[in-house]
Amino acid sequence: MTDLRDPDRYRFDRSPYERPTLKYRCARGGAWGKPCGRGPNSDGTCGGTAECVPVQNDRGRYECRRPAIAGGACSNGPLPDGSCSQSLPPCSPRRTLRGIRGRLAVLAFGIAVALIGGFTGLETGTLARFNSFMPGPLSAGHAGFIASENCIACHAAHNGNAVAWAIAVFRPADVTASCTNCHAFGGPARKAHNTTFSDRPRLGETTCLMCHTEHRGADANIVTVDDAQCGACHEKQFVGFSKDHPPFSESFPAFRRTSIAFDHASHLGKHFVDARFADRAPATCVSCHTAAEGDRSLSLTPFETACASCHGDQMARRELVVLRLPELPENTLDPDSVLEACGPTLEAFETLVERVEALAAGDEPEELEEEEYEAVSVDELSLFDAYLLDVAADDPDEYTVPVYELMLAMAKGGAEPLADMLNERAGRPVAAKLLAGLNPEVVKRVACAWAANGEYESPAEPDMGGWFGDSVEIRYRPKGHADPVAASWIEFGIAAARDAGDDESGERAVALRDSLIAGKEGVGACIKCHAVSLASAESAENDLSVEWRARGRSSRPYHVFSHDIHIKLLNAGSAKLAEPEKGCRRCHQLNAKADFASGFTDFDPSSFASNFGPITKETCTECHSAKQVRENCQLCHQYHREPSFKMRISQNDG
Amino acid sequence: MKLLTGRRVLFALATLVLFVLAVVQARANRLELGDPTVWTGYYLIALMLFLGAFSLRKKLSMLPLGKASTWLRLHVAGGVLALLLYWLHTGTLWPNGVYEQVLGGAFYLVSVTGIVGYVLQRIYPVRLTQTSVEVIYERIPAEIAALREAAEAIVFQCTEETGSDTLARHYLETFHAFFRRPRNFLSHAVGGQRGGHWVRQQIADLRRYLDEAEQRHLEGLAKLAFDKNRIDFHYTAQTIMKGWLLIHLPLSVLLVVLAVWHFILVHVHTL
Repeated sequence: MTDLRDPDRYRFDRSPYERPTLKYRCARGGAWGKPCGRGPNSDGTCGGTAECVPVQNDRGRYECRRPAIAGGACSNGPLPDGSCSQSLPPCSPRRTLRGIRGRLAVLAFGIAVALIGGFTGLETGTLARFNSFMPGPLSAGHAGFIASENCIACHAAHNGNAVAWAIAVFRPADVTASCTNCHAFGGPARKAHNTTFSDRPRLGETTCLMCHTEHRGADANIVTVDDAQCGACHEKQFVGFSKDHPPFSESFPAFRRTSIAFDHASHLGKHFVDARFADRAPATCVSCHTAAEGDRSLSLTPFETACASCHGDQMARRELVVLRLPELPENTLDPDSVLEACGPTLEAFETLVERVEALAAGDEPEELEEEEYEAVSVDELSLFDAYLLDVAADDPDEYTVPVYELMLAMAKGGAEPLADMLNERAGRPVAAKLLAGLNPEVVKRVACAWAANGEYESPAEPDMGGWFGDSVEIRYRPKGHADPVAASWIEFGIAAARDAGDDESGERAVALRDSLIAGKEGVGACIKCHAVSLASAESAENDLSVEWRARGRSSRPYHVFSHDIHIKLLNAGSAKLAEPEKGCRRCHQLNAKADFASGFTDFDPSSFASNFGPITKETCTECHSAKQVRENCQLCHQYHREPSFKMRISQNDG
Repeated sequence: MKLLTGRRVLFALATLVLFVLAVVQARANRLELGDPTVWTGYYLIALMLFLGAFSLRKKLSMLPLGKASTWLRLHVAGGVLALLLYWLHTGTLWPNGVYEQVLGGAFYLVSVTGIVGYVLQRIYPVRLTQTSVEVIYERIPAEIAALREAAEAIVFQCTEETGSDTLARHYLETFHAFFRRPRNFLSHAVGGQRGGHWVRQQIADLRRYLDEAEQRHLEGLAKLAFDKNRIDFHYTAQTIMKGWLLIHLPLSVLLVVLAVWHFILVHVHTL
């Protein structure tokens, strides 16, 4: 019997040496019997069917090799054939724990490979989510657009073969390129804020994945930028908006004059309180200004709703004189040509009849007295005439011949010669818009009247507006707001002056433009309200554009402000205009002393006087501060410049 | 068992410092619009391979690769660090994708089995030492067989010398089964003394039916029974200490394969 406390009982000569790394153990021991001395073979077969393996000595005889711990050499000795005489029934060796562990490890490896391989290729259908390629559900915004392409829509290497994958492991993937297949920006996609900072040329490229993380679920916010990340790049470091955000600019939120010269101070302080107009005054600010959801800019109620009740008839009062018969010192027209173009005048016809009747009566017709020529018009050329004919408006010696030529051409061809000259002068086809609605017959009759040194008498007053001949002029009367012909003439005038030189011709172009955009006096009085501004800050002095539409979002692409939320919160819909501390006016304080009109005396939109006092940071921090409404960077600033989509988004019903 | 030894504190502090450094680096990286999940992923997979190397170290015991005890400490510290890095890497306790959930589940299972294994390694070796005997696990069947042979020899000798079969009949009814195989596994596993009490009770119950000569043989049998009880505890403790690896190691293999595939997928698709 062994003594458990004997430290030498496992000595090599007193105990079988069982290695812990063996994969098999004796089944006799496994069944808690006495294990055989030899144990299993390394291949898992029983090694204990004999107690030893006899060895042949030098004399050719077999010797027993049973170890001492098994009793030493047996008395029977080996059999003649060299096998052991002490045979035992074989067992089926069992695996050791280590052996089982090894098999389980292989099994685990197999399960892992099966898990990976089993669902590979299932990119659609219910089981697609088990695919190892799918690290999580896409956001709802993206999920609908990859149905046809799946992973390849964003991951270019996905459909490659094994070699392509092996290469892709070591080659940087460009997911940003996939993003920009659909997303577009108002600047370089891979530059910070989609713009190039000239003072920071070393600024590295950015990628979409720096801030956007997908596969976080349908409702997940894939934008993961916080204030600290903004502060990491910006030189002006601050902790929070209310605490140390730089103050707003002195004129905030106005950085240029408005597109529409609407004087809030005079309207609110004078006109809307005037008993004559009070019933037509808007009830609240939002009667005229409406906000789309989440939009920074406000939409203006249309002219017809907001302005027409007072200003609706003002456009028609500002007519445009296109052609004017100037004072002509003598009639140099060839009578035959005029007769051919216009036929005989009533006066000439009557004279002819009288002479024929005299001849028929046998009388000698009276000698025709040559009438003394007296110009029917004593005016100068219109500015348009002078520009079109490129002659001085007040120099008959210069303009007489061209005017007669135009007159004769109009007498022959109606408005066509005029249109040809317009197109030629503009260098592009503009006449269709400029002369839209001009009756060629009227032009012809006016020209014939003028050719006969007479005034044209219009058969009817143009009550509905449009083209008409009036004595020595061809005029256009705007039909109302947004008259396309009037607008085209203004655009024509601006275009004419755009490339004007310093010579007389250039001066005539500028004079034409100035007459067209002359505030209250210009055609339709359009420019009384619509600002004419330099096309851009770098534009030449004559490079102007008319702000036909109320300017929406200004050129501050990184600013976000939701007017509609503030309008709702401040209950602006029920705040009367006369309540200066409520509704919109809680933030937009009217500045009645500002010389608003002075901002529209030139073409520079940056010199202006706002109707409203500046909004200061303190105005915002009344609500937006650490313990009130949130004040994080992205509440008011957006990272991207003018984000949009390259592709048209449409619903695929199929 | 002293938990706060100098080395353990040192390794715990080192682990904590490494994790804090990783958190600081991740924050700094995130501030500059970097992606900490990339390098935390690299660290994590490198750490997992290092943890897996512990198994190789045990297989390659002939190579001078450092002390196994040092490897174990590094394995434990690395395991804790891996768990912290996993959270830093994923930024969540439970990921979204099914594959990532399988991967995360495997990671948690490996972590839990690792923690369980560590706790077992802190409990059972001490208790094994308290038995005052050392038994090689693979030799336990032989030890039990030897004890059984000795016990049966005592019973035969008692019957022959005293002519009484009281001890023999009692042996057949009780101790025969006891010596047949390891007993009271659950009791030994939870630190119970059921085996010892049972032996003492059997001896006490039998003693009053035996004369003086038989009682001398009973003393010998009792000594063998108590030794058998010690062997049973060794069997229980060592089976548990070796057996938890049957879960931990295959799960680790599963985890490493899944993680390597994840690594490849990320590199092909995103990095």
